[in-house]
Amino acid sequence: MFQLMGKGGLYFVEAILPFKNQNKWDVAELVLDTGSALTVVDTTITDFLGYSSRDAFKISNLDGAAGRSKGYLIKIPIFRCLGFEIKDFVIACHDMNSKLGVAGILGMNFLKHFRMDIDWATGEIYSISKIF
Amino acid sequence: MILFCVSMQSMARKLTWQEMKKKYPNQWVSLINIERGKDGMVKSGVVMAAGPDLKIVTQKLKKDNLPSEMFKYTGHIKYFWGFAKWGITDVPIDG
Repeated sequence: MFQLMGKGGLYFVEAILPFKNQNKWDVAELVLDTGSALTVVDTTITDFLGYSSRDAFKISNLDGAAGRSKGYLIKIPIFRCLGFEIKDFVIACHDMNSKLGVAGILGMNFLKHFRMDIDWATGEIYSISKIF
Repeated sequence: MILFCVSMQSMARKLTWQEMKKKYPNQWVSLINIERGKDGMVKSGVVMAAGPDLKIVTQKLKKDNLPSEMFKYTGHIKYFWGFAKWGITDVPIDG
């Protein structure tokens, strides 16, 4: 069984992100959000890991209650989360208001690869398997 | 610089998650030497940098060349909105 972290009515998961061109990793907590097509990480973290807009292959727009945020898409070599890893994973880098306590969003481009049995009341994942 | 980092790490005391929340309320912390409980949650760790803004924390880490294994927020999530709409501009960034 896997336990999601519940905070402020949201569930968070740990994502392991690689530093650019280094055999080093850092962990960030992302909000599990099935309403987001893509996985988003605060540019403060991606900058720290050594990525920049020079690594981008597309510009992205995020439209939320606070207005439009412009960012960019990058491909990271490996993305690890919920005990699985996906190679050449696309993340959207956007400036997020870190005072809100959110470093990013785990979106559907990760979640769509898995079958999960989640108890949304308790945040417990009873089973998770990769869909091939 | 390396000596400075080593001394910073050896001086730093391992704190429990409860102690971190008390010492650094509503702040981002960068942790190393993380210990987890049976539930997989962070039980304790050594705080390398802390601040109310994540940018301040990463700047501190870069400036002092400190290691980091995890970023964590000690406060409550104040407000968060669902992202209503996604748009990806279909133009290469360098194009």
